[in-house]
Amino acid sequence: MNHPSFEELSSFIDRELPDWKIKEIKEHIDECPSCKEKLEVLLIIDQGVRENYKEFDTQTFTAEVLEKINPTPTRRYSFRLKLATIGLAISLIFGVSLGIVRDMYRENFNREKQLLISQHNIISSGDMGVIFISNR
Amino acid sequence: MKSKKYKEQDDIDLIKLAQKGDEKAFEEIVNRYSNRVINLATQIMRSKDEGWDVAQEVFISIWRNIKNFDSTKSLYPWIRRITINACYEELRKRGKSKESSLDDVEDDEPSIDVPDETYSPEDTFSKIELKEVIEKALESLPEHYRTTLWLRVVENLTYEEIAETLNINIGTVKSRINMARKLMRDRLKYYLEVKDESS
Repeated sequence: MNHPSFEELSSFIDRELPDWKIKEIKEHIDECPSCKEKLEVLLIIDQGVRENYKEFDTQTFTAEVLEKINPTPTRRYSFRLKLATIGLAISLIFGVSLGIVRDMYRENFNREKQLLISQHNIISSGDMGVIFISNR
Repeated sequence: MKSKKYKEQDDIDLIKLAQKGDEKAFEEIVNRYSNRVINLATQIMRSKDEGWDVAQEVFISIWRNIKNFDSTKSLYPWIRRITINACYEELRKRGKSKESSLDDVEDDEPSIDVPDETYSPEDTFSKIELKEVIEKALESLPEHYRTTLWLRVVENLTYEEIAETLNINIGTVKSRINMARKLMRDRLKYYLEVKDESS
């Protein structure tokens, strides 16, 4: 047979020719170094194209897809988290404020107590604010 | 244990479960096909990032439309078709896609590019391996040639299946593949010649 055309060699490697034609080309290639070389170049190209197939990080990919499909659970969780944080912050502020007010009250109370002692000749006092006055 | 159960399921069962809203079944579908979809989208978009993004949109679209899928048919051809359409749509939006219309018929052969400096033997071939040269040559192909060659060589589709997938006739498939290989061969000619000379 004549040398197969480029198109025939291309279809040959794709096995898109009738069986008799494939057989004919195969026989020719075995005997023709020039066509064999042309065929090898085509096979190198195909192999190179195949090697372009890459492995991607499919775990990350899948996680991103699922997140886009159903972001609700994450939102609900973060909303609850936000609510808890706000609650905690309010309790903290309230607690600290209460402590400050109590300290201020105590400080004030002590100051007034000292004032009373100095003004009325008081010699002692009880925890519950009961004051014992000396007759001296 | 549960994920193992999904891994062992075939596509039909996974689709049926996903159609009932089972996200884990859908997750397994994504795991199973994402690499192929990202690769295909990357080839068409000519960019890993864009390929990644389009592939995500593809799976989101699949999830939204999974109820319409006929579970007696093969899943991946459907996914592949959605991927190709999504890529073309994206390219069209960006106005890149004059060359990528599904109805394109290439009657006129494009002129074969003269290899640029990237392919010049003096400064390149000693450094760049064959794989990289082929990768560059593939990237430099017009989109419709690249996609058709990819479907043939990597996805291993017959000419008839490619014609069906791209909605073109078999003659066009054949001419696209021949042209893609011719362009690739011309890109590689310099590399192979230098290799022969050095060996």
